[in-house]
Amino acid sequence: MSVPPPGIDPAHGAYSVPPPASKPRTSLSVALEQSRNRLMVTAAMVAVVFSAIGVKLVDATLFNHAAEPRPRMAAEVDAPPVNRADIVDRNGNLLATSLATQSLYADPKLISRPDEVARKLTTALPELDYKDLLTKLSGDKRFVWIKRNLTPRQQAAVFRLGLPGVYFEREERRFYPASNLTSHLVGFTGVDNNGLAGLEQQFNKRLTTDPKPLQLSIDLRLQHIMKKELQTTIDEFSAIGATGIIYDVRNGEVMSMVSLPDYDPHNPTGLDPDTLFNRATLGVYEMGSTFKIFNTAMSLDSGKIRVSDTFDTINNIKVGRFTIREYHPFRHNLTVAEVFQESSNLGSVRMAMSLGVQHQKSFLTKLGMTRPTSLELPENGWPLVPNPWREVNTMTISFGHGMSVSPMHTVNAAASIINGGVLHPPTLLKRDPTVEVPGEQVISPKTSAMMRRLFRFVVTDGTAKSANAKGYVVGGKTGTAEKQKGRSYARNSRMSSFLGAFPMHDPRYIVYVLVDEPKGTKKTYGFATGGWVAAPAVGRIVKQIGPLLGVQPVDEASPEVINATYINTAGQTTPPAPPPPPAQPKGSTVASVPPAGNKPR
Amino acid sequence: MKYKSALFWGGLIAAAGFVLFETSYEVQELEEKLGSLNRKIMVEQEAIQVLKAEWSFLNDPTRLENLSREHLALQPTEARQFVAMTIVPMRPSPTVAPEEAPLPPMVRNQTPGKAPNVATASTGDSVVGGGAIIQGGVVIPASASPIKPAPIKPSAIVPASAKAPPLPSAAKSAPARMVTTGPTEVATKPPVTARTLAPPPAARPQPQQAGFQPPAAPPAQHDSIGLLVARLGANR
Repeated sequence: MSVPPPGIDPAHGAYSVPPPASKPRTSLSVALEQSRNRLMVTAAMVAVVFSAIGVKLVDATLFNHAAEPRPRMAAEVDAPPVNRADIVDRNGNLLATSLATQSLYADPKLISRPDEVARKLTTALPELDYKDLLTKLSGDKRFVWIKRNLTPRQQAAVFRLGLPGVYFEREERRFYPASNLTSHLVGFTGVDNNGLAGLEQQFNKRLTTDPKPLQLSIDLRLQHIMKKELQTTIDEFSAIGATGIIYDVRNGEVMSMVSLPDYDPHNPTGLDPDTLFNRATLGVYEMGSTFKIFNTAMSLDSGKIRVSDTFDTINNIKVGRFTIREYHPFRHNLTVAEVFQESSNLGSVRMAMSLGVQHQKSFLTKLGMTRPTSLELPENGWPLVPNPWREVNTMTISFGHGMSVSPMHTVNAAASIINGGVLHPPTLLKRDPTVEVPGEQVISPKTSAMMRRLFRFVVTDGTAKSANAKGYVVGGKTGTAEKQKGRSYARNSRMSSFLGAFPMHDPRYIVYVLVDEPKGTKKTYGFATGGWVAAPAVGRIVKQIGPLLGVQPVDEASPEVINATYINTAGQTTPPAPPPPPAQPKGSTVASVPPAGNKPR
Repeated sequence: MKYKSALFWGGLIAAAGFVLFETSYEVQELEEKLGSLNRKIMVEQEAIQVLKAEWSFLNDPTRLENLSREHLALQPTEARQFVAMTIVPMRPSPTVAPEEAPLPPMVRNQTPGKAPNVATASTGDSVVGGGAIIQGGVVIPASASPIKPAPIKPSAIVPASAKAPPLPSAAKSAPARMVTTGPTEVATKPPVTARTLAPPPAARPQPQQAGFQPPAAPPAQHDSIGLLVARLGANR
């Protein structure tokens, strides 16, 4: 740097010849030398400064990185303009989305006539209170909120007023197009857009970091059908609540989950806790007879009990101060098939007792009944498991009392009983079809096939005839549990449920309905059991969702279906010798087309 | 020589400076343009987001169901309305090629009020006319059938006498249910119905003239269609 640039050199050359040292120093020569030195110093300084400027200039023009931020890149076309990702159902319907809204605020310092501004604002936004607004606007602050999250229409109305001192601020607001329909699943967010319940809470981090929509396994249409039928059932039987689940037994996807009563996720404050309570996952209940599914599967899978074995169902069992008896007493001993079909408590107890306490405990543990399910909801209930697990517990658990699990537990475990014996972890997220579904073999495929027959038997000849949906080969098991009030069971408050599956020759879906405290009606002769309350609802649901799920209706009398689902009370699985060729519907000739109005219904 | 090279360098510097300034201004302009485009994109994306939300809101199943109950004659499909492909009869060799493609099964004709003048249409049908469709959306007269391209219309193959007497209001669900067989049935096999069964005249007068012969289709056809119809209508 200190070297003078070449441009200065010639000057240096001109003065560079030093005076001969021998010359006497005259005053003139001293002055000359002095001025020459000064000139040199000045030239050097000028050279240094200019070269510094030159270097900086080169640096600033040619190597200018990060000197000034490169201001703009093209906006990403697919990126949503909001900070929280959408939640969509399995078909891509929006369940939750964020909308950029404008919030209105004012700077009272800049408002000269608060009364006029307040009057104009109240005409544009009628929900504002004039007096309140006036005090806000005449205050001394520099910032007051007038209204948060305006709709575009409201914003336009305020915009048109052209008021000085009134401004908009961009904010985001969570919006749930399906509203109540998925409130228990999706949950809701608070004012600051943080999830406070449901999947919004569970996936808070995922939603705020990954802009891709979160796809659920839920189907909005099924959700609607489920809710509609549950509401009908609640109204019909004056129940206090209900819950329903539709479940894919092949991969553990929850396709619909409704808990009634539900709420509006846009305004979840100030609701009573029962409304916010998710009965499907957080609620744990004594399931009643639906537990006989597991009891029977356990017995058959042990290899010690065959479906044709008979058990004493006449003599009541006395345990301490309790007596275990039948809902409807039987006059004869029943086979395992009949125990399942007629939902016999005594038979179930004797089946469980012949295997022992440990066997039951380990079997139910294997089915995941002793810990919360793997469902992705923060509202995931812990089962109430007896501790210690005594003989009396084994007796009561065999018919579904003395142990409380959530409906999700029941559905998940029942799916493994009928799908060939593989327990898949339940999920609310759509599974990637290319990835293998995790699963664990819990019972043998043979037992599973037998259980399917028993499921179907309950609907064709057992307690759930009303669950039948012609063409869809429904099977299932009813359940009615008396609710525990305090220390004893209340006779008249029940949990009535039905766990249905279809099509039974090749199970695809489970439809589960549980109704909380239904009251019998005239139409049901005062009964409010699972077979009267929940089974018809499941039948109606299956009829509606079958076509949506692409389940092909089959002729239930066809040999393939019969062969796959037949069982009789004796436990025989071969259909009676050549079944008479299914009588062709009388419609084989043209003339027999029935009159249009003449439908039995 | 010295002068010339100085001139050359000076000119070069001037030219470079000019190009530099020009480019810089151009870049500035482009960046402003980019900025405004980005802002526009953001606005559009926000609008899209709002529209998506509105679309989902309007497609709420509960709302759709109410609307469909109010305005459509459709009901949930029942299991018996599905038939296997094997049951659907083969198309007969067409005697007359239809001039007009059949309407898509779900399309409603715009003139439901027109009373059908099919010989086989029972009086009850034409009396109720199209007017009854609207009320409550539940009672759908059989005459609603002309609005489908080729509804089940057993009358086309069954003597008129075999047809059902009109039901005024006795079984409310019955007429509606009968109508529902229409769309689904058509959905399964539009070409067959459109060509073998005469399309109702009210729907399309033009091909009706031509298509009126098919009632005289080979008797074997009667049987298979009859079987199909019976399956759809009778087999519950």
